[in-house]
Amino acid sequence: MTQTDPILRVENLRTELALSSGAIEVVRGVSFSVNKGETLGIVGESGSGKSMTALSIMRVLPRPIGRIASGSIHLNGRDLVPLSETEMTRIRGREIGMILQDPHTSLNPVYTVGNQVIEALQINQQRGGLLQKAIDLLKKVNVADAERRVHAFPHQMSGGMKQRVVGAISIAGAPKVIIADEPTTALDVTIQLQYLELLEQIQQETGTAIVFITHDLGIVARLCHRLVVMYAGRIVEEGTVDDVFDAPSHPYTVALLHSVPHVDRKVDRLYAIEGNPPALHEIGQGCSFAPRCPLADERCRTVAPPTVAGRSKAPDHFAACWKSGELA
Amino acid sequence: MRRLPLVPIALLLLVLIIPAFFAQWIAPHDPYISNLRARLQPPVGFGGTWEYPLGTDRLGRCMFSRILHGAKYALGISMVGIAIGAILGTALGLISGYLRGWVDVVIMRLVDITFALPSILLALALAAISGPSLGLVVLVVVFVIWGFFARQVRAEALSLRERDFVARARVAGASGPRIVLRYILPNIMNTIIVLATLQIGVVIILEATLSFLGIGIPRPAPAWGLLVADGRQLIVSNWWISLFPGLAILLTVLSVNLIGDWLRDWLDPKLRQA
Amino acid sequence: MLTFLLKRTLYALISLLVITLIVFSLSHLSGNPLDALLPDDATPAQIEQVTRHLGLDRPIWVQYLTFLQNAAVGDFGDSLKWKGQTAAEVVWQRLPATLQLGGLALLISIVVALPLGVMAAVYKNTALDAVATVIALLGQSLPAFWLGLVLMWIFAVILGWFPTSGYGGLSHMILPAIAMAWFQVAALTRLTRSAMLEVLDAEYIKLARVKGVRERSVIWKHAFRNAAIVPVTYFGVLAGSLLTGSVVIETVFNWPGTGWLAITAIQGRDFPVVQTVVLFFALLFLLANLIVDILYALIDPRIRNT
Repeated sequence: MTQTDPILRVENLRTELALSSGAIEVVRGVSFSVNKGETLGIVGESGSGKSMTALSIMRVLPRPIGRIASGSIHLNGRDLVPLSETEMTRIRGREIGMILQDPHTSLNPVYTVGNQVIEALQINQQRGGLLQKAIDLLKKVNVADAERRVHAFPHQMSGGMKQRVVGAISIAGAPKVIIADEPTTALDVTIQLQYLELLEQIQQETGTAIVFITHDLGIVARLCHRLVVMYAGRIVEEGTVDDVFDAPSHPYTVALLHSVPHVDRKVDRLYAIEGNPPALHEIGQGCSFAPRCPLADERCRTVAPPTVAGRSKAPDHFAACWKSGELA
Repeated sequence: MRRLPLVPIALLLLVLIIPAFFAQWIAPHDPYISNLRARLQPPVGFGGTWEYPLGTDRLGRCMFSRILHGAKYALGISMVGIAIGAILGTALGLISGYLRGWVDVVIMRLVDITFALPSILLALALAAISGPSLGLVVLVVVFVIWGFFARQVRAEALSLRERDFVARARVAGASGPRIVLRYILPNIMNTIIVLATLQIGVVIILEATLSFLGIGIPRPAPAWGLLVADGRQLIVSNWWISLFPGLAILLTVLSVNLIGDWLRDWLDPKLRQA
Repeated sequence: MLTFLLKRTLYALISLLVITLIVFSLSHLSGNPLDALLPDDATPAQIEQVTRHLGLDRPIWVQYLTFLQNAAVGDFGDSLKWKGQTAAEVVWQRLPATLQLGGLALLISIVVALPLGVMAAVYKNTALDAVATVIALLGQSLPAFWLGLVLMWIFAVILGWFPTSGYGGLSHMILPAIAMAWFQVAALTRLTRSAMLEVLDAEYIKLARVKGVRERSVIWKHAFRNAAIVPVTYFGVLAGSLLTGSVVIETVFNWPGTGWLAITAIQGRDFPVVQTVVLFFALLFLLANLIVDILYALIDPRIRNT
């Protein structure tokens, strides 16, 4: 992986949802990049804007209420934001793929698994011997007995198996980037690990970049090279997994790290972050995390925090916090 | 489905219906008395006079008065029929949902069967034997609507009986009928009211249709369906005889439907799917 | 799948049995059936003959069984109004006319309502959606018989585009078919729209989009196939309403089908014919519902496999 060669570059992305109570900004100026063959983790609680960021990149925001207000999303050097729906349709699946959260609902119940895999192949200009290609693809994602399963309907499969199929669909067009939106959350714990291994295996074989969205820092440690931490629609910290885990530079990251159960330490109670993420229309001028932050002072509450170097002092480690230096 | 300004529309239309309740005082003529010298008078604006604002029928009866009086049949039948149907359906629904088991199975199969027999067929069979009558219309109405109440009430009773406050009452030794009447029924009232309102339009159209076909309200009552039927053969020359009574049906049903929708959203949003 | 269908068939048979019971009771419990069967000026000899012929002197359950037995082979006795023909023959002759009209109405309902409902959902809260809403609202509130008359008045009497009434080719059928279909279009549009809205929110639609499926294919292949389950289940009711509608519309337009026959038979106090029509319609209705169950299973593999 070459650090200087981003395949996906998101810059100052702002996304709005037009709700009946008025428009709210769910993604508020997010910038990050993903390099070829790299796995980037996007971490945050629900409501932090991480899924909306993913949907913005795919340009499949909820209709008709979602829209990208400003910013750019460069995939392989080409900005996706101004593309028409027709042009975007050609990008999806071929250049960028996505794995959704819940395998139980993300496959179409009325078509066989094979039909849905073959459709993905056809979209990517594959012709001839499609059934065999679909079977091969299913084998690639470790679906046992693929010859038979290709004719099965989704409801006849387990969740883990279905998520493998979704994985197969996402790689059918050999995309350069795959966005995985909490792909293991709905799976059994034992299956989760297998699935992560599968993603690693896919990445090694195809060299695709993966954007892995999760609230689970344990998974990030296991799978990702770098991560960004999101809070209330903004990125609060960014860096390599090693740097961020060793020297978390935002109080929110610290709190998140505390809430990860350690295998070697028996934890009776997860360290809970007090309070809830702010409702997005309530966000004021200062740092969004201030109301829950143990270090917050008047300045935090009134002035938006600057982006500062992370405590690791690594050149690619940043945090958006006034109090970064006070963390120990 | 709609974000139309429901309440104003409904009220506006209601204004058109209300006079019907006072038909006796408002109507300019006796709806039954014919004036053979004023036969087939066109309505005002089409060569007629204010004496007969909506014209007259072939016996010279005032259409406006007949339509006003006809409202009694539309509204009366639907109220009586729906009241009986609602009580019957609610009772059976409560029994079905509370007792469950084979009673439930039998009652729900009966609902399916009444839904399976198109109402007009029942009316046909009945009318063939006894001739058209008011009682027949009410019977058909009850037959058509009790199942809606039974089904919905049963579903809610089933879920309510598992709720804490019902369980507590049971533990406290309340008898079955007491639980049903004191704890379950009051919680279903909203649903029943909404369902009843939503059925009014259906029932008015049903009554009008049966009357139109001559298997509903017997002549010479000025029921709207009969008025439309009166004008059917004259549509080529005297269009107003059929047009205005039908318009009365349309406006009435439209307004009760709008009110019903509004009431549903307000009282019982979960019925939306139904 | 097989058990599912067997169960459904059994239900349909039970329903049919109950309906025959209702029809039978109606003809026997509401006074002497002879009143209905015989003209007012019947001679004692006629009464005697009909009584014996109908087995009215036997126990009631024997009468019912006989009635069932006869019904099973389509024997409902002779028509009283159309002399020299059995009731079954009279009904059978009128059937093609009803099927023609009902078929056209069904076609209109589907061809108009499904695309309209789908588009109203896809273009939610646009002008198109508003049009669909108004159609749905009017459909619920317009009495079909009056709509028929108004159509006749405007398009046949005033504009002269179509014949006013009577039996004939397509030009005779258009107005009655539209009047018949109107309510169905409204109901079906509403159902399709709400089913589509629900489906369009589903995760598998999102997956279809992210995998690069073209929008048209997302709507028709992925969404509509799932949403179609709802309107398909409605086709049973639809068939029933069309039968009911045929009674009304055929009467309005003097279309000589079974519905018109039923009303004419009532006026002529021809009870065997009325009874035949009622049972025949009930049978058709149950059959339609059975077909719906089969379609339902074909569309939704989850049912097929249980």
